[in-house]
Amino acid sequence: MTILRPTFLRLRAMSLRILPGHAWGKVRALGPTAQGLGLVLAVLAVVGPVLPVAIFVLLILFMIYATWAYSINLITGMTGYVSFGHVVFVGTGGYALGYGVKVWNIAPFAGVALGGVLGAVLALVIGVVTLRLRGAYFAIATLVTPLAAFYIVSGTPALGDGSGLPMNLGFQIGSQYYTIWALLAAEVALTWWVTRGRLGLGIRALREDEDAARAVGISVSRVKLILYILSGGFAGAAGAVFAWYVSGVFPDSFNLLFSLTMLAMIIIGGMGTVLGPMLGAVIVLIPHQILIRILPQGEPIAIGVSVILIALFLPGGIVGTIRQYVPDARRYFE
Amino acid sequence: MTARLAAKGIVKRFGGVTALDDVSLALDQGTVLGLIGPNGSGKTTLLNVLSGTMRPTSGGVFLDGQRIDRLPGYRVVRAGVAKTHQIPKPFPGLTVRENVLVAATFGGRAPMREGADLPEQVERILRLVELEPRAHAFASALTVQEKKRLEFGRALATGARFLLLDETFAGLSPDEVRNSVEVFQRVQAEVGFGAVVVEHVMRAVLSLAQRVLVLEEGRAIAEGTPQEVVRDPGVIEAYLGSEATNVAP
Ligand SMILES: Nc1ncnc2c1ncn2[C@@H]1O[C@H](COP(=O)(O)OP(=O)(O)OP(=O)(O)O)[C@@H](O)[C@H]1O
Ligand SMILES: [Mg+2]
Repeated sequence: MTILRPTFLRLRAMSLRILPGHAWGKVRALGPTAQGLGLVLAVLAVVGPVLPVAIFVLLILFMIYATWAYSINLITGMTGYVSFGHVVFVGTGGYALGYGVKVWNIAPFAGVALGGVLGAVLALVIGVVTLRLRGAYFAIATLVTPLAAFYIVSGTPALGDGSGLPMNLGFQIGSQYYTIWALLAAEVALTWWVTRGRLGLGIRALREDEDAARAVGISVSRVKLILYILSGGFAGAAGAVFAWYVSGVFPDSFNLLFSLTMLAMIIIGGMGTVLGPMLGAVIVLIPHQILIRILPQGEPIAIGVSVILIALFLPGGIVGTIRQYVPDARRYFE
Repeated sequence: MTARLAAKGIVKRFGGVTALDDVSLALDQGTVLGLIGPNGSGKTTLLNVLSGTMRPTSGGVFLDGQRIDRLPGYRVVRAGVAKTHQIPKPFPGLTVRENVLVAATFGGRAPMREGADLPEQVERILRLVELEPRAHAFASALTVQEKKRLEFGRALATGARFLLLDETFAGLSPDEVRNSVEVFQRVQAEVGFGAVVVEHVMRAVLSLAQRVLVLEEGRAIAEGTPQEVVRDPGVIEAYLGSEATNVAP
């Protein structure tokens, strides 16, 4: 932190000139965690285009992963309901874009929006049925949904049967980059907002004890459902960007390994926190890039083992553990 | 006009088990109704029905004449009926103050915004239930008695006009019971809520309640003042054995 100080001060001096006084006051009131995340997002937005293409392309993938991490954090991190079937929203978003682009000739942007809407609607439908189930039962019930989706898309001619929907959209990395950037920025802001104030307090209470939360007047079912819908919407939209990024969507986008990866990111980073999913995405994606080249079969094992180790020894993930043992650093790790 | 909580002809079945069989009750704000009965007689189930946690199989619950038994539980709380749990359910990872703050924030008819007089209200509740010194402790670190106090404080903080207290004095030492009864009476006098108090500890019920309802196997077998109820032959029979000694005044 001390090493970074001078840079911070200079940036602050810069912003002082850029922003009018009252706006700067608001930024300062956000605290270091939000400022840090805001800075990272701002840097991503500004420096993206000047980076070498290889890194630029990798950053798109990183932001897709981070959007998924924040997505599953909205439901699993905030409420403790383990959304094992979360990949169903990813695949649905991908197929929404694939179908829209191929059959209706819509722009990829519109496909991303469609993916988000379908993800949200699907979450509404699944959530109404499954969110009344507690603990492991919710996890198992949602686990079934990507399996079902896999068989449905594999047997539907309009969705390419088993061979999916390859697309030929050309090289659009600039649009992809800023689309996923906007999604991620919106989602980080949303996460920040729902952990604050009255709503944040209610969500913490609900995570601690659902019955007690209901008994003090919290509309538990509604809060859970809204979080799940938002979560499904973002996962769907990011799934659509992913399909755009890899120029196609295939039944394998319902692979449960994605669910596991998303869970791993928030377990490692810190569930229910604002910073955790971002850290988790970095930490999961780097070994992913290496393993996928040298030992592709090793990835599920590496993820599984690290999740078990974290769950055993650092149950709060990185952010939770730091908050627990270094109370003074809490402002930086929210 | 004082508020009134009433239940009419409540039946509650769980599969083949009839936990409540045509139970009715009524109480005014400011009064305490004791609810006693042997284990498994349906006391907790009745509180669950009154608080909207469970829907009755038939019959209705009315607050000021408005039917509330079809409302979701959180709406019943906001309408003014809050309950405590037989086994305390604090939010363990929240501090005592935060526990009360949650209830004060969400329990009201129009859930409170931040600011306002929320902090003052929270302080007042903490003082009333004598948890001020523990305000910054995590709820998980509390003793049994303190957890029960916190349940009570949280229910109070919702601003409810009727509290449903499930065995608040069970599992405490005689000294703690005496102390908790005192706290209850003082708070009730100051806040003026109505309460249904489920209790095995007879002495506590008899000193708190103006009227007592006795359940046995889901049926109301007696209702009256504490003095009337303890002399009722049916009640004495239901409480035969070890409990009988507790009934004797
Ligand atoms: N959720 C439930 N599902 C099935 N049966 C239930 C349920 N809740 C209560 N019962 C049954 O209803 C009956 C009444 O139970 P209840 O818990 O209301 O009794 P109680 O008077 O509170 O007993 P105690 O003094 O032990 O707390 C019992 O036979 C119990 O087994
Ligand atoms: Mg009971």
